[in-house]
Amino acid sequence: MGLLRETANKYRVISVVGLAKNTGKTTTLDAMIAEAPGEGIRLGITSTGRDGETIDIVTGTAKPRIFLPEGAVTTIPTELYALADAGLEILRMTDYRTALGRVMICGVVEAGYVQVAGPVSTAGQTGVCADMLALGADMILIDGAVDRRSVAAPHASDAVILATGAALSGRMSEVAAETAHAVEIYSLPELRDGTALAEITKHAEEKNILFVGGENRILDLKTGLGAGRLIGDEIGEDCRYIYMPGALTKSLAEGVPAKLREKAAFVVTDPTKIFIDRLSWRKLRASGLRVFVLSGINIVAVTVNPYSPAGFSFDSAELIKAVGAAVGNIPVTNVKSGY
Amino acid sequence: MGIASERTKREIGFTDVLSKLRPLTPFGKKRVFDIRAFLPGEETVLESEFDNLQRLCDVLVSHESDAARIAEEFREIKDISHSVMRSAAETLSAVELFEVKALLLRMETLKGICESIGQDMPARFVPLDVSGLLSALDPDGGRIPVFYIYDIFSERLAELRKRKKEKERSIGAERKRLAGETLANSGIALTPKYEANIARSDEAAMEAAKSAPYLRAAEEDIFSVRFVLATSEKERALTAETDALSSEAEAEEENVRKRLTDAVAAEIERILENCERIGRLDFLMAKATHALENVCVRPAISQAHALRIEEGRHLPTERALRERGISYQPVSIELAEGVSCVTGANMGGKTVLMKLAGLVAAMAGHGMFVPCASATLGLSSYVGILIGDGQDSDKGLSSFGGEMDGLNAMLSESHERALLLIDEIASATNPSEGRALTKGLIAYLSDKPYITLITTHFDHVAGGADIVNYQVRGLSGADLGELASALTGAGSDERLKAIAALMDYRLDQVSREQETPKDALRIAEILGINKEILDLARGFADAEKPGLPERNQNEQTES
Repeated sequence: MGLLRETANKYRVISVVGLAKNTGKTTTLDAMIAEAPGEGIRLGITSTGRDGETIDIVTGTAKPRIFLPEGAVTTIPTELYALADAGLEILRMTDYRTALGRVMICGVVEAGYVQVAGPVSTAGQTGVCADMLALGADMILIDGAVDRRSVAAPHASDAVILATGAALSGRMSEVAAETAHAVEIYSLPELRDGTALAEITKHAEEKNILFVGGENRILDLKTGLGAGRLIGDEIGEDCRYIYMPGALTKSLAEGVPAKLREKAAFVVTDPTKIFIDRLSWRKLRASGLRVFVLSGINIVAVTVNPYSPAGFSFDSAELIKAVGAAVGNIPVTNVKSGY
Repeated sequence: MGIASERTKREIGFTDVLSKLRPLTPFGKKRVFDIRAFLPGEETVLESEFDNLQRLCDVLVSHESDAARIAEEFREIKDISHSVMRSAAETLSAVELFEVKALLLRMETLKGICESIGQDMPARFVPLDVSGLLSALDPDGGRIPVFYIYDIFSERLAELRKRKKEKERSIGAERKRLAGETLANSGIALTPKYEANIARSDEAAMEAAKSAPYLRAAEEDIFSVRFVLATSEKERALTAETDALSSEAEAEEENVRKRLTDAVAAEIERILENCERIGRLDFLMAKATHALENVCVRPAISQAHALRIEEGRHLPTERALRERGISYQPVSIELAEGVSCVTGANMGGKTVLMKLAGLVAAMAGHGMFVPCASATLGLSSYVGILIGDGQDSDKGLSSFGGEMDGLNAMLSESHERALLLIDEIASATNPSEGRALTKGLIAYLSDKPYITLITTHFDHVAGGADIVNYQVRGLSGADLGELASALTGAGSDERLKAIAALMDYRLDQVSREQETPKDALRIAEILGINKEILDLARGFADAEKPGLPERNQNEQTES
């Protein structure tokens, strides 16, 4: 299937995110970009910068070079402009700063390789996406960051394509299970309870843990780190939701007694705030853990790379089958083999 | 520090007023940051600043949409004077040329807007023509703020790029041909990226791939081998030619950048002059906007050192009151060199009055219109304020020590045409010495070439013929007993509001010093102080009244 064709009519902004290095994120992006001219789609391409990330200007290793066709729109910091192999017409100087200068929005007038880099902040990402759409892009692809902490997806993009593969594990079943875990967490339901939502929105600025239900209460603790026991002590019988402004960790979820865990669900701002490994997650879920998110991540496809940098590979069709069975009805594909 | 210390600027509210100025360009912001006062002797320059400010106020009112368009252009202006100056020495990068072009376009647009405003816009604000340089950077005349080393800049560049593209097409055709032959001769189909993954289990295909003349193994593991299309001699030659053309094109791009840089360098002065003009206009538009928003008027500037305020409003106080739903009562006062003394009820606005005098002097002195119905003033060389609020406790001084320290600093800074504002000096020490000190200070300042405004609670400190006395009207007309009982059980905010509503903040000049109003106990009652304390206090006050022992003692020792 053509990933771009499949998604183009449904989403304006898509992030491609890898579950680990070498899971084929760039390959997925390349494949979708290569589809664009044939589909008559004018693409905007950007990349989430990460705080503290340094890019080796000389070798350009940290940021992969992406081949952009004529007509595409992209973001590039001023210091990387002269290194681009493509011909880039500068369309707009934004106010977003990176370690490599302010981010510019450029149109590709001569096809070629570009080290795409965009703003670090979620607000910046949203801003350049809007700019690129205004400058004529039909659809935006975001080169998402590798580690989960910086998936700014819920705010900056409509949908996510998840790249996974042999780099995760030498056992295919393990790759499938890890991928399914990520998909499950990313697909957690959004909170729809209007009363609880209103209460949480009212206190969102304060960044405190909040008990909703019965008598709503604020727990004066900025983060939940190591606070599991305290939450367990403080939680009331009639509490229905525990809103966590920060991360939801394993120790925290375990700190809430099992009988209360069934009654009160955790609410986090978005799925990237959940830091619970697969096995603990299974155990906690079995003992009644429920989690809602304020804004979810919409996974529209999973791509697999059967090759591991460790020097082994899986059979592509088998891997697709295994991952597909694990993630339910999300389409799974290997963009390289074209299956 | 200019005519006032940072602390004085803060205390009179001038810092607050400056923070409300909203310049939009980096050049305007710098002017606000570097703002300085017009000094005595610069009255003519100040008047011409006021002329321009008045004209801009008129422009903001009568050309509202043009002014809004100017503001819109201003918001997008970046300070690239560094790049502009660098053009004299080094070749500018494409990014820098983009920024120069974008700036020139804004200058051209601004020039157009200013011209459509016509005579109303002072010429010194209108950007100079930059169309010559702009055309060099924008040869096709699109006048859009985008940039690239376009083919149109150089025929040679266009030719090189065209040839490079042809070579690249030939490479594509060559690879397509080899892929076609591979399929025809070896039966192996390559992906669009000219690759093929062959499983080791497929021995026939593996054999075919290995013997195919144009395939080479790129990557392999225990299950499969990834073959890629090998580079033919012809492709190698074409690639070499493409690379050579790329280098030539790059060199030609550099030539174009050099040529454009020279064009920029030739106009450095004109560009910088326009930056100046934009900064001037932005700064003055910010002042004009502030004047209109805060209903400020042009003050009359006199040669003589004086300060006359008609219905003045201390802007920060007015805003704070408005937020609490209380309206501000403007006050008027006239000060000349020598000492003016203000007495009056507690909470009668004496401190705010002093701040107002300082603020009006500072705003006018810095070329701003003033928040008054009208004002006349002669420029001051120094403005100092001393508010005995014990803010120096962090310096380890008591409130009295801090006050004396401040007084020393103020007096040593003062010279001809100083404006001194002294609030309730020596109120933190014993009344007999406090009164003596105040009296001494007034006597000392009365023949100095300063305007001194001093507030005090002490009776009979300003008795000299050359001292001007003002009194706050205060609560004189109100029935306070009734009010106090009506407020039983009210909250403190309500009580403060009630006092503010009854207080008459206006000043009366009194011919000779009158008894200082004794409203403190009544106000304390309205504010809800325990009745038992107040009754006791009234008893003591009545007992002391007839003799006024402290004052008598003082008078005796001095005479």
